Amino acid sequence: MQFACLLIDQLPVKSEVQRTPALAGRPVIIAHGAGSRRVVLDASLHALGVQPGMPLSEALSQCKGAVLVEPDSVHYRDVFDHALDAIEALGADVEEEDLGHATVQLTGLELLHGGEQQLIDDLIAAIPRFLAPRIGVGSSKFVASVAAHQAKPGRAYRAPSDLQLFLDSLPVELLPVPWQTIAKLHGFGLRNLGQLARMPIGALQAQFGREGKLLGELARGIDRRPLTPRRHQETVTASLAFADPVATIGIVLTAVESLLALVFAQDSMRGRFARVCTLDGLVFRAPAWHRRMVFKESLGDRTKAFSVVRHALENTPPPGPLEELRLTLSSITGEGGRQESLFRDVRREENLKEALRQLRARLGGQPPIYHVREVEPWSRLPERRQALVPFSP
Amino acid sequence: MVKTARETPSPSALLPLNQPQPLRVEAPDGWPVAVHVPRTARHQTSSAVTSVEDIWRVEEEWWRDAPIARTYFEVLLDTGRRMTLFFDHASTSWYWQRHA
Repeated sequence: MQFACLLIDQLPVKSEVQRTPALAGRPVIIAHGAGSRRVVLDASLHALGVQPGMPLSEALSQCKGAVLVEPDSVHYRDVFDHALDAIEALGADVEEEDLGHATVQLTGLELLHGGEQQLIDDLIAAIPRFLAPRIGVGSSKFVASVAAHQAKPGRAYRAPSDLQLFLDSLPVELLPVPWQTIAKLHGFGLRNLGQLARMPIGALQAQFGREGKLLGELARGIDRRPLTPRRHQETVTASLAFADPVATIGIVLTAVESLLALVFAQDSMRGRFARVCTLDGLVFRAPAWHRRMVFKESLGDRTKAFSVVRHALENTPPPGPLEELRLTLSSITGEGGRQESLFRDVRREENLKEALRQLRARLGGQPPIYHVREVEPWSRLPERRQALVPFSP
Repeated sequence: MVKTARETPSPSALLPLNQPQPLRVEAPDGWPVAVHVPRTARHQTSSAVTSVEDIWRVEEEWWRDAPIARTYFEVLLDTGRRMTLFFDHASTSWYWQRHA
């Protein structure tokens, strides 16, 4: 079984530079977090001495002329998803490990692409050039991942056949385990995979539990973890860019209404229902905003969807002026439609039933809606003639 | 589980409607002459009764421990408003009966 590991370093910076070419060649720092606790998410190679995870204040003092960019995680996610979609279009199974890190199963595809080397070339060609991915090829997920770390940007590296020799001198930081485990390994004086491979697996298990067995096996080049291909979810998206940043909720709602009209008018949504609506906004001089709304039931009507979204947005509006807004419908069902009555009275009754059902779901019990019913219409005492009865159509 | 037909409805199943509302009425000799009509939850205005348009008596459930005995008055106030009041003989209090 052969695997390829796709490694894209500095994906956020590369995405920003590709979007804003003026940033090319300049020291760029992307920071996330809030207030005084902001840390560096990613930095360009020109930002000398700046490392991801470093406090922003320290990073700015290290690199005074750096351009500070607010993170747009939705855009980075998009860029990576498009790269993975392109690989899947080659017919490969892809497992996403992390943002900028994925594993591809090569076995079975070589014949389709005219040999393994051609397949790897096709893989590199499928990914946008600006991402300059590093490709590692190996007999398991871990070996491929280690090989990717040895590859140059935009090139592939095949792990040598003598795995133990290849892995021996490499640092334990390459192991896919939490940093606490790495720190513990350092505490025991284990700094490279060779030292780890020489440890009996029993001793590692005694110290690290189940993870110990994995550590020992990976250090010996044995990786039994199967590849779990990513799941595909059908989505329908529409977006809108504002000429000036918009802070008024009224305008945001109007934008949402028109976006809903656009998505529900698309061919792929015709006669179908969506369960989840996601709003992603690019906020002026602030981190990107993300809001996910799950409908109580699948909705195939933009008016109903808008009423849910409006309610949610009026309660918690966006954190700042929006420059761009994107609406995505997902969890799309194959429901064909709903039979409605031709007669107005019956339709009104159905609408009432629907409203009650929604209220019941929201309140978690019987909604306080009653109707007047005659109890003792013949009574001489007026208060006994009628009563309020919980409404259940 | 299927509900049994004999299951008694919960007390909240029926809510009373048009319950009589206690009212302060000036009635020397049992005849209403002025009514203190509630304007808000805290305030009330006094209105004089200009005429009594109708009177009737209701006696019900005399076989029970707490029989019902009321004398109803349909009155016209000096503001032009028409109200239905009753004097409850059991509690010796005045009430305002809406939608009588």
